[in-house]
Amino acid sequence: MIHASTTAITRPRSLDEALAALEKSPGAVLLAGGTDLMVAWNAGERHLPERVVDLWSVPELATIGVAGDALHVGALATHSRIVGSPEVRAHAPALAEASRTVGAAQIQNRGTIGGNIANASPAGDTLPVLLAMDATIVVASRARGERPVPADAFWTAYRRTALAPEELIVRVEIARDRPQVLFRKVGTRRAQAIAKVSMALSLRRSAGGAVEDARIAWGSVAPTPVRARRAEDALRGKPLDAASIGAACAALPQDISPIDDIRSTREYRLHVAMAILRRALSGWVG
Amino acid sequence: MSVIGARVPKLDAPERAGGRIRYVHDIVVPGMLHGAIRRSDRVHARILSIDVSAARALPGVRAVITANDIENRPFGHGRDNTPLKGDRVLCSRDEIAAVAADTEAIAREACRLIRVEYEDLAAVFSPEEALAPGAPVLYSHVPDNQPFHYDYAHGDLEAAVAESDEIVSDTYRLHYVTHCCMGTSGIVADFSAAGALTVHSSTQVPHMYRRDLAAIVGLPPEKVRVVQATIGGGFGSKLDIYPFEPICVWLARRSGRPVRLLFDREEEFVGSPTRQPAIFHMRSGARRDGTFTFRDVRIVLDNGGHTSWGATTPFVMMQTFSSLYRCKAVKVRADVVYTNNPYAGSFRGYGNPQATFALEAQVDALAARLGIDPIDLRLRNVQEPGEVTGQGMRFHSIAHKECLETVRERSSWTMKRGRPGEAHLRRGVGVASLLHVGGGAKMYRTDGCGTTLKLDDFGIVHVTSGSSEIGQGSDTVLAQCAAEAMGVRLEHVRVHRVDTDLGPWDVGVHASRTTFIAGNSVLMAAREAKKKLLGAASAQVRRPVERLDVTDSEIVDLETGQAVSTVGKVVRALHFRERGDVIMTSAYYEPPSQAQDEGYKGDVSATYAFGAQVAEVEVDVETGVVRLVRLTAAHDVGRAINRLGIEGQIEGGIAMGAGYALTEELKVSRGVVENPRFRDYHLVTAPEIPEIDVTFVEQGDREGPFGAKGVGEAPLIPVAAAIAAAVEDATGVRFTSLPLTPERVLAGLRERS
Repeated sequence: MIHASTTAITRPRSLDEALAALEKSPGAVLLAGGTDLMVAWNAGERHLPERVVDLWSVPELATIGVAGDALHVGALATHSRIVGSPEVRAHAPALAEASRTVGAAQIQNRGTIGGNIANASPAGDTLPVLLAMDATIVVASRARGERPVPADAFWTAYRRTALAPEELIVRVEIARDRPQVLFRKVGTRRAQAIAKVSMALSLRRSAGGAVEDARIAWGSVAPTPVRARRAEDALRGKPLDAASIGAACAALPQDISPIDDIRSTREYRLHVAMAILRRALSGWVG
Repeated sequence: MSVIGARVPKLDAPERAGGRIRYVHDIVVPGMLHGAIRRSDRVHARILSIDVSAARALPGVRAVITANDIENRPFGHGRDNTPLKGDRVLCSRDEIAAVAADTEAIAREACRLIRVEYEDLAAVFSPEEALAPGAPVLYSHVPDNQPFHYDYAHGDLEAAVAESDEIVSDTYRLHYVTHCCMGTSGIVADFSAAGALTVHSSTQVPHMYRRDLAAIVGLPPEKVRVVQATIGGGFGSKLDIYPFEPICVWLARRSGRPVRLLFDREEEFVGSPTRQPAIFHMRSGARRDGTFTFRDVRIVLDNGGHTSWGATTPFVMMQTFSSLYRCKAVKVRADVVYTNNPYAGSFRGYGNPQATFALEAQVDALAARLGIDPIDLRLRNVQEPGEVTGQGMRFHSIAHKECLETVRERSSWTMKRGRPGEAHLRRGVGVASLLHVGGGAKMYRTDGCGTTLKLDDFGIVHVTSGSSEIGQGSDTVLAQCAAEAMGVRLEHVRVHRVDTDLGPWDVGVHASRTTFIAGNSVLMAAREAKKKLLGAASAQVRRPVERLDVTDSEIVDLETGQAVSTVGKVVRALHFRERGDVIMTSAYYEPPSQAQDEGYKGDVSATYAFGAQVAEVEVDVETGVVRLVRLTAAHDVGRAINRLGIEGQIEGGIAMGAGYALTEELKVSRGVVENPRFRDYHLVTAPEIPEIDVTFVEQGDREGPFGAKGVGEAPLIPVAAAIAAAVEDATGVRFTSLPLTPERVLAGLRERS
């Protein structure tokens, strides 16, 4: 592809430099592993932008660690590092599981969680997990500093996010006391497959067994990653039994709006979403 | 120390793995330009105008051609294709113009700048539409849109129907898939000052290609030299000539420079051939005791907008219907129908995976009706050695029965069949057999192959076969044949690439023929060379020739067991003397097979390969996801020459078959390929490869080299049929079309419940 215009690439070496670069040219395209952007550029699906800020060499963004009550995963943490991180495995194993289903090994070596979040694909593998974990996505700009955005408020419309033009994603924070999350992805094959449907589910139950809190998040069934709030409501306060599970599954179609596309059909997605929810709830232990 | 039956790594493996082998993509000719093709934006339209002025004006562009700029001769099996389309496009891949430029990027950009005005014509996107009354006619000289028919029959169908106790009937629909060669299509065309053309091509039929390409571009064949580049995957896709090849020649002619033209990956999906999609309307019957009585098959093939080899796949399909099992009466009618879809070429199996899918489904349906175990029913109908089928195939060696018995045993069939379980993950096993030519196929007047062999002065045996390596491992097998026949070490044999100026003639790589046909040819040349070598040695070491042999590249005195010379020494001594000589031999092998008669009858191959496979699957009945857990295969290979190579062929064939069955589909919607990229066209990946258990049944074929049969295509053929059978065992639903995607399986399960 030949373009008359040229692309200016800035390669900041620190977070300060990155924020400064972004302040200077708000709306510049942020590049991390390039696993979405390079594909789109090469395929001509997106035009090469005038300005790119390449974040790959910003060390502050790449850390994974525990800080106080929360697990912090830097935006530049690759899926491979997430899969291999003892901290993630200890405190958010479902995130590691989701990262393991991204593309294949080569993609996992380059693709980052920040990129997955910012790319805002409804099929982004880690996104339902972040929703189910009630994660906080910390963004920053030079003018205003850091700003926490709950995952629930991050994806605003199809491929739109709450990120302002001068902001970048710094890290994801996940509270360590969250209940565990069950992750399920249905695709044509087990590697290199974009999800037809994916689900991340977490439940908190009282000593008596009633569901105190439920977060059921989905990928590939709506314009954004979504929570199934009506299905969650159908469970809340109820024991986990045939009646509540049936009600949750019955409510699910109102929460999601799957479509026909090259990867699957509306009908399949709807049916399978209900089937995997029913199976997950029926088999729930803990 | 025989090398036959050993496990020999492919001779070119270090070069391939080391990135040193030169594919057509790596060939650089000084002064070379880069070519690109502008394809149609429509599926069926009249071309009103083509404006190339902007493309011509782009800096770096050296030649732009349209149909008006070349002698645009029709070519192909149906004479219905031309290099460039001037007045009308008939499918989305159609070539309208081409550019040669200083870089590939400039050439592609120039193609984009070409403005084409169209007037859309009514289009047809399925054979049914094309056969409907009043359907648009694609070619005026074919008013019924049916360019080809095939009619085959043996036996008294009516009588056989009448004596049937059970009759089953169904329709099967097979989809588009494509070869997905790692190396995309490409060619380099280079004219000498005197106007002689050299092409570096990845054709798998270099000698026929030379003649055909010369005719298309209007050169005398003697002025065309075809040098075969290392091929990055063939699988049949390079059996025909496609428009990009003459286009590149015309670009070289018009620009006066060498031109290399390569497809990018998306273009490969859109612009290279597919497997032939097929519809089978089929009935078959059996007597109560399980004896098959008849088969009545109507095949409808979607020919697409132009004709390539896909249109001829009924030749192979009918063999499976007529002869995989003993069957008194078989009728096959095939209608080939023009549409505005992509067109199919040859693809490993050549129609046989499709036919086997349909036939084996009917065998299973009969088994269920008769209450006979599917493997037992097959065993009741397999032929014996020496039998001649209704189509005239003579089975000198046939290990079909042994293959079925082997997979029954090794798959734990009896324990696993009919036990799907109650959980949401259901298990099932299914079986399928195959018959394919294993000793070449006499599709032309000859099925021969030449070899020239030179023994050099350091004892190296240089083999030039007319046949060629396309990734199937034949160089290694031919080297083993030469080493074994001559008594030299394997590392002392080199097999050279095909160059039509240098190598002997051959009909090409197809029909699983190279090991058998080229192998026999190499054996003839090697035996002759050994005779000459021993004659020279006898004079040099002054011992009678009967006392000498060649072992491990040394000349050995058989009485003393002592080495008395070496191969290299004998040849050097032969060269460095007065009235010396060279050891160079040639041979031509023609298999003892017959061309078919007008009714498609005849013993078309020198031998036939059989096999049986059992697939074991796990089906998630809630999501429709099918997992291929295990594939047990037994193949009648005659004799394994390179055990490692044949394992690779079988495992690769199974992976390809699993893709055909489960994940691969070229999605064609209203004539347009919707998923021309690996992101959306799903090959199986490593996690989907099942546990594979392969048994070679080695009874030896009387005609094959060391008893070997050809099995390049065989392992792919029954995979999809076996998987569909296993899914039926797991779920009770027999799927009659592919691929078994989660969507299709779930819909099938829901329809049933």
